[in-house]
Amino acid sequence: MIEGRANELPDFQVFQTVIKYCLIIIVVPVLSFFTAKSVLFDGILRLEPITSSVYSAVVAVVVLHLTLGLYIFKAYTDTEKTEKPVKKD
Amino acid sequence: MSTQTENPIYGPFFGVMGAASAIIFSALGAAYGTAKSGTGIAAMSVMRPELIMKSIIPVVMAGIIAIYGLVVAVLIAGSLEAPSNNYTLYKGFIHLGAGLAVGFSGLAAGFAIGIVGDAGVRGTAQQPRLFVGMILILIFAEVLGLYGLIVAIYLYTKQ
Repeated sequence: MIEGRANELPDFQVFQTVIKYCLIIIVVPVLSFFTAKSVLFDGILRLEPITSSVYSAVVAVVVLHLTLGLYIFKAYTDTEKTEKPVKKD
Repeated sequence: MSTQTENPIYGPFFGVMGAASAIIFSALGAAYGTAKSGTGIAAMSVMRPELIMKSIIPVVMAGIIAIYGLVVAVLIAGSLEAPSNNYTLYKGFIHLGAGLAVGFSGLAAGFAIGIVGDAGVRGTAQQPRLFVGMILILIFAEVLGLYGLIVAIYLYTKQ
């Protein structure tokens, strides 16, 4: 019971961080696909439609893995921090 | 006429089916991965709610499988055209192949992520050191979907 009460504030923080990171993982790659296509590859570099789509797909996938790595790093460091006080209790 | 033989009216059918199968099968795999690892998370977090942040990772990775399918489906749908606009039957076959490549790879990767995520999340609750191993196995499972994406993009560029 004490453990549950002690975890109440971190629970809300965990919810906030999970929602934040999930939105980042979903939204940022899709945005980067269309921004890279319309601004960088079509606008500045003026590539062919197929090459610009392929390059922007590659950009989107790379950005996707960067955000996923960010989330794994956050999850790994965050839970280690919260685990230590639980062990002390 | 060459328009009849090279650009038949049913040419875009294959391209449309490629775009549809890319997202359908990837979403099927991602849904299985999410559901299977979700039951593991639900069973585990009753006793160890502080591990939820770590155990969401299989769900996120299953969602990424669906994004692979989405990327290929958007690529294919972007270059679909009417047969009169020089959409050859060859293009249709290429698009069908690209969609099937990413679709079935995503299905396989989603199945692997689901089973590994379920067992891994349950195991991590009892032995936290398993977490690194679970992440590694999940990455290897997800790379299968990435291989399908690479093959699909490589096929897509062969016009």
